Amino acid sequence: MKSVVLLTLVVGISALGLAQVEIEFWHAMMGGHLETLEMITARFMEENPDITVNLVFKGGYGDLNMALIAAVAAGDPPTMAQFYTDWVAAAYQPALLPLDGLIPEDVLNDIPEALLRACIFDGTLLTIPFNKSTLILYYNTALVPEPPTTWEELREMAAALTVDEDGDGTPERFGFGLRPYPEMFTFLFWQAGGQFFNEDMTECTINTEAGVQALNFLLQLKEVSLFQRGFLSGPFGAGRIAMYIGSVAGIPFVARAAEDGGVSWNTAVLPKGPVNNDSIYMGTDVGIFAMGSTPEERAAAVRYINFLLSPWAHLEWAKGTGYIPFRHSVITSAEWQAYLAEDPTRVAVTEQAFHGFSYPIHREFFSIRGVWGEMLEYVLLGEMTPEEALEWAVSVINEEYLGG
Amino acid sequence: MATVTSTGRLRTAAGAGVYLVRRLTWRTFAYAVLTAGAAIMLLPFAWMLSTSGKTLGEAMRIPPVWIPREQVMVEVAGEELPLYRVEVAGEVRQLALLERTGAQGVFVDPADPSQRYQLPLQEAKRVTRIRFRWENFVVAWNMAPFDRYFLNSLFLAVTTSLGGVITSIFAAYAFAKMNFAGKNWLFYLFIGTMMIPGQMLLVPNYITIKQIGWYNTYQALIVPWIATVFGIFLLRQFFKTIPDELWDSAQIDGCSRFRFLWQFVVPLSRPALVTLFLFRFIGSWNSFLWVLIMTRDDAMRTVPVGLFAFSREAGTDYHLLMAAATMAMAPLVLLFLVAQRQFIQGVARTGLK
Repeated sequence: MKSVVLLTLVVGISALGLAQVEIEFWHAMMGGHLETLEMITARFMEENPDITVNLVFKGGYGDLNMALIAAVAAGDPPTMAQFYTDWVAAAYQPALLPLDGLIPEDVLNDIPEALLRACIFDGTLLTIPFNKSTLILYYNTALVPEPPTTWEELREMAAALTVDEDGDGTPERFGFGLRPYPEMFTFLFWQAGGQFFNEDMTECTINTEAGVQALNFLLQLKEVSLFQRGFLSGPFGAGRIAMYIGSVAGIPFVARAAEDGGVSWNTAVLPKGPVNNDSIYMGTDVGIFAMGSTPEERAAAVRYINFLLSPWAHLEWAKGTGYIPFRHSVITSAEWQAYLAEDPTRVAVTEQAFHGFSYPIHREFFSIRGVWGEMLEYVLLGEMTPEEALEWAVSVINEEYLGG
Repeated sequence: MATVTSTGRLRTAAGAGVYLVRRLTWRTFAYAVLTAGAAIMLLPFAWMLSTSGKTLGEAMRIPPVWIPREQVMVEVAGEELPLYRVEVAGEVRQLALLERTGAQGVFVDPADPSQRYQLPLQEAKRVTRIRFRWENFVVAWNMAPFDRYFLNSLFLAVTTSLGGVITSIFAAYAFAKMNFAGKNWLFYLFIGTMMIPGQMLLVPNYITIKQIGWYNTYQALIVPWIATVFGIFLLRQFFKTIPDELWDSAQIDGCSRFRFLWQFVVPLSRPALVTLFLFRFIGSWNSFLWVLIMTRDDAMRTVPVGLFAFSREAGTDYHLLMAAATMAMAPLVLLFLVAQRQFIQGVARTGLK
């Protein structure tokens, strides 16, 4: 009898062992972000004891991409990874598992279309939004009782708040903080009604009135701005700038810098441009590699992705990391509303989360974005007029990246 | 009166005076330039040490804060409140900030809490005192498994440095003291490989490591790094300064090449070997991308990977990063101090810059 029980136990344990699936998720999350991801993953493994998810940190985004390129070249990538849209278009599209039909329709319908569009490559859903951020307005509540709601108001307030007490030409306090990176141009261009490319993406179309409006507005803002390449949370927390536009991912840094500098602050949705007040969706998505994975591993990864999208995990992820919640049902849930009551700086984040756009998908997008950044610098440093810079950028992009 | 200079030329007293002034001027100038250079080199280190004791806000402030300070708090009716310097009716007073209401703040006198003043926050200056936050080191240490990372870094640095020195001794000796067909071409080929950027080799090396089953093992982190072209070049230059007559004499006494290498060449080359060991050690200690790509488990990772714990896409915890960087740099500084004399000799004699 004893031996029968023992045999049953051994067979049972072996069977359990055989059914165990192990998947690897390569990511670039660290610190508190990683802790939240680990907490969510631990809960997933508790609920799915047959699956083990190994979270593998692969450095910053650049390092992660390099590791993925090497792994795909070796034909042995991880089961899952984080991706920027242009990485997928440039290198990983054929290696990824199509997710059409694997994510419930009601979940996909719950995500903003603009956000989901960046996950669809040539008509196939290959990735799912993961750590998404967007731009918002940070403002010093002691200086700005009501945040600006239009470009004009922003310009006027920034000018009024710029103070040069000793008259040495360098203001002691600036109304605005300006950091030159491509998104500072692209979101304004979009708000002015611009389209980045023509329909078949053979031409860049930023050399329009919208482009000129966006660059001219930035030039006007620069007059009353602290202009620097470093992150602006420091000068904002020290009370040196009254407002700035930055990623929601910067909230923890602003909070600490402001606490240290004794500055009271809040966030607001972006001031509206001539057409809309949309912000850009930034951050990465997650996808599953069909290459080098077994059907069991792929199935386990699909279960994990669906868990990440589940209301509980999505809520915890947004709360724990500061990334935007992007499921409509989660944002309207009582739990999220209760959380907003605790943290008012996230109210604007929630509102902005549904007013956004994603960049169009193109395999050369990384380089195209770089040209936009270069163009912005030429204008802000006074080396070109907005019209000249736009023409220059369009000719470079059309000739070098769009095959014109 | 005239004196004879070391070059045999006669110098008068007046000439000696001019010479002395010139020499003094030149030396003063040289030392001034060197001091300025040293200060420029030391500035980032000073900022690193200073920042390791700051708050995040202080670390990011422009113009930079060199001495960390903290807000002075006072107890008012059982509550800890920040102390501010404010002007009330033309008199500068130190009051505690009770609450903020938009651009205004409600201030109270700590000595007499019944006295309250509503004043503009912009005009209030915080009262601070010097404070170096030693706790940053503890927080930084606990943000990643640094104990494991330090052990790994130490193990890898010692093994790859020793391995690199040993293989370089053999190859450098062959290139410096032996004659064989194609020696120079082979040496140029070796040197030529130094011009290939490491990133270019990352993908093929990753494929190789995967195919031989070394992914996520210490072999992957050690074996590829125990051959070093730079080391071969460095030691070859040094070995060439050892007279060939020494080998001729040793040969007459029946000494084998191997014995000559270990009993004569290696002891005579101590400065160069120490220099190479130090260079390898620093290189391995700072190695990041290779370790990150060739390993999966956190238990295999090293200190530079741990330093990533303080960076995010929207900012960096500079105060904690600098505390961790100070800890990460300490073993290298210690090693340099111990081997300083040999290192300088090695650099001087091999013509390295």
